[in-house]
Amino acid sequence: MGRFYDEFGRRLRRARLAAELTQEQVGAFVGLSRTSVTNIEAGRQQIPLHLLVRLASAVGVSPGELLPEDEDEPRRGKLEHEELLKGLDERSQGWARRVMSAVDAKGGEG
Amino acid sequence: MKKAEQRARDLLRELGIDTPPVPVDEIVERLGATISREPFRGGISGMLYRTDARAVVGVNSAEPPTRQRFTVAHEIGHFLLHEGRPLIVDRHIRVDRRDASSSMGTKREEVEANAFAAELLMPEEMLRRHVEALVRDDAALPADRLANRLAREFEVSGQAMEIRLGALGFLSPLIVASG
Repeated sequence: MGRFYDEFGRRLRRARLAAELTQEQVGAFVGLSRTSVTNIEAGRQQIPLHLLVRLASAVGVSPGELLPEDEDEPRRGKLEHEELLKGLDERSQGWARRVMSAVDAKGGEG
Repeated sequence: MKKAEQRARDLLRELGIDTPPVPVDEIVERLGATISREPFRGGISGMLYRTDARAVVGVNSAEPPTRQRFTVAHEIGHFLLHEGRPLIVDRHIRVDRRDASSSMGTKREEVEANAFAAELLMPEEMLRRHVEALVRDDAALPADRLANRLAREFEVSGQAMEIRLGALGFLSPLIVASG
């Protein structure tokens, strides 16, 4: 969770600097103090959704550009490989799944 | 094609490998990928699966060991040459033909992966040295026995070695010499 807000803060900061705005200016635009903006950029403050949209307009990017990627890669990977396997016949799909799961079972996190 | 073979040569040099048999499983690990062996009765030789975080080389372990080595080398080729493809499943990788009857990769990719694999397992210069050494020992060595000796040293099939020797033109002087 913390990583998510760290990354969000980094993206916000990068977009703000690219727009050549100060933390005060962004704060004034969205109705927050400079300190709050500092905290958000440092990943210390978890913001509500409407503030995401406001902050994005303040720095001139779309909300999506401020959002980190999904870190739950293994689960996303599973969905993806089901999609990828569709082109194969059933027995081949079974084999490909065994190959993938044998590696998952070994618990390679890296 | 030249690009694929050059990549195989560069890889061997980077890893300091200059004697046969080329340790393909170890190369996979050193590239940060994982090997997974599962038996399959049917026309699949191997596969390459990757996400941002990991890469898996799948090998059909029901095939002969020399074939499995070729499969691993072929998948390393896909891994290094064909980024951006999350899954490639290779049906019967053909050692003997240029028109690989495969697969989920494109035809060009299969041809490149095969060229890469041939150079990785039987690098031209390494092979030349071994051919010369064997011929020096026994100038009358028949071509088929030469191919078999080399196939054992390089841990590839006799057929793959014969094709490779032929493709590199290493057999013709012998045939001339013995004829």
